[in-house]
Amino acid sequence: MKNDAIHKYAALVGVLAGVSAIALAFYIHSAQPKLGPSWHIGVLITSPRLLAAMGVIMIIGGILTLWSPAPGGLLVLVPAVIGLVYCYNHEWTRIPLLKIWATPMLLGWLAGILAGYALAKDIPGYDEPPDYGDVLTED
Amino acid sequence: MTELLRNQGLKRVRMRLFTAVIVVFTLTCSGSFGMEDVVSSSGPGLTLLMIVVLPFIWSVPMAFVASEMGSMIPEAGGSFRWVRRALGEYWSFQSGWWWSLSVFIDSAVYVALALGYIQSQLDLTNWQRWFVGVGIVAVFTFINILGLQLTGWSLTVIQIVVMVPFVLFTIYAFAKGTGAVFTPFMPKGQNIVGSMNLGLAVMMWMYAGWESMSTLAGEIENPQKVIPRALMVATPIVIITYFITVAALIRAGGANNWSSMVSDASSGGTDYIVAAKIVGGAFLGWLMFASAIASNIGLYAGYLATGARPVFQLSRDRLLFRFFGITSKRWGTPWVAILVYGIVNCILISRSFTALIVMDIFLLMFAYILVFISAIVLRIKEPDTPRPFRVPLPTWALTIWVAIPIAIAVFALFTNGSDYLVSGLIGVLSGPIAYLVFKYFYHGTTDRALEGATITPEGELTQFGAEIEGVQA
Repeated sequence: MKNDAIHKYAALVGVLAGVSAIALAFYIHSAQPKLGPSWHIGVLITSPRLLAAMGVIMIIGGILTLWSPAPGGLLVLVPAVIGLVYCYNHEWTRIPLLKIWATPMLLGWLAGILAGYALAKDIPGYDEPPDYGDVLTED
Repeated sequence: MTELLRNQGLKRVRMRLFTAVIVVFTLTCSGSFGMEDVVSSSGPGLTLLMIVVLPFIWSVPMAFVASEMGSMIPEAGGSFRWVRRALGEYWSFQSGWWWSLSVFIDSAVYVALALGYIQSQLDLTNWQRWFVGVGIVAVFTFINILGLQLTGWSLTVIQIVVMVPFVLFTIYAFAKGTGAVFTPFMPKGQNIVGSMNLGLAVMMWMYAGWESMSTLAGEIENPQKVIPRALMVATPIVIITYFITVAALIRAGGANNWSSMVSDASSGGTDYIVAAKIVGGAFLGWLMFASAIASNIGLYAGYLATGARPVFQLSRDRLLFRFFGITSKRWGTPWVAILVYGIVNCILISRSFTALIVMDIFLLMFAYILVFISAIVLRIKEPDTPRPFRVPLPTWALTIWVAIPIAIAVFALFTNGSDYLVSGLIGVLSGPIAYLVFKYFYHGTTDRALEGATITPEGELTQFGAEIEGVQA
């Protein structure tokens, strides 16, 4: 586990994104259970179920960021993208869905940025440019 | 044997100011096709007012900022490099990624638009249409690989084909047209915000592209002088071109015909081609038709040239596939990056890609915002670094000036519709994802290792920078 601030912030925000997704899943399950029709494979994937599942993955990603920012950050960001694709595909309920997805998506984005900074700290760049052997010369 | 260049295998060519102005004009204007939609949605008077006012709060700040940054950091990749100096590797990757992705989509759109015009007259089958498209892509990919000099010449010829019909059209329109140029100011029953909404989005698009030429800085002699001058000359030319040709369009359309103006009149309405037929007969209509095709081909050729360079630079910074960084030893151009762009364009033009197009604008706006922020950060971080061109404003005033286009960009992001917003956000989120993947596998380079840099992160002139400036390091 990396014990510096940027890894901790990335993990914290990633976990927060996941927790907010699960909390919002419970909210729309109770307040707006019909929000967002089922997604391609029948009634199994409805908006609350998708949100909750993505929330769990985000929490796992957030925690993983403490050890390895690249896979951790990806596990936080990819659910945010899946949520956006879900919103895009539901044209008639897009705006209400987007209002629900906005918090986990924005927190996921922020966690992804912080994971990028953490990764840059973990993997320093090479101290020389790549060699292509392409210095141009003329007689 | 003398070393031609130590700048990443790229060959610098001498580009005259005239050619550089043509390149900027192509990237930012290339005729006024598309303005028809603004006239019908915002009204004649408001459209002409926006043509005059919007540049000063949208494109002129970008032209000035691009000039200052381009003169300070005249390196291949342009805005991608500026953002790296100001905000570091992470945000430069985002800038390069968003910009390249946007241009990947954009360039295919221009070929598709040119094909749309051709198909409206020749009734091609899908396969014939695709072959014509591949032909256009192949020709300009080859020209681009041969170098900027030939690209500059081809753009000059294209812009003659584009602008001669516009000049004739303008003369005919003011001589024979009957439309009132400034009235009504905006559509009846609409408020000014509602009238501006769609028109603003289109016009921001029409006035975009000022930073694009900076990506070619690594292949032009004296880029720190040529590019800022070209931007300063092209800015008023673009504004005047738009103003006169749109006024001519309204006049040519006839009394109260402005509300039927549409950029694609294949199913009714008035576009530039129809308006040219009204005032100049069939011959002028055909000339305008040729101009429309040439305009889109010119835009394609321009964006193919500028779009391939940030991808090349990302690769040279070890943040993208290594093969994108290969250059041609004979022509000194990033031929693999150009070729890949061409191949992707060939694939895209055969498909419907509406979702990708709406993503495009969002990506570009985010890339612009990073450039504006970088300009301010560099003024604060490196106040004494030489800037052959400097925006004649103190940093606080420049901050206010660039805050306006940033506010306009943010406003446009949220008012274009939910499909733009959502698909745009998907495109934007691809940036952090891509960084995690490519940084993990390729590691990147330290600032000190950047090849071709003219100035060190501490603001000292490098050996390469000294060669460009013509002074001792």
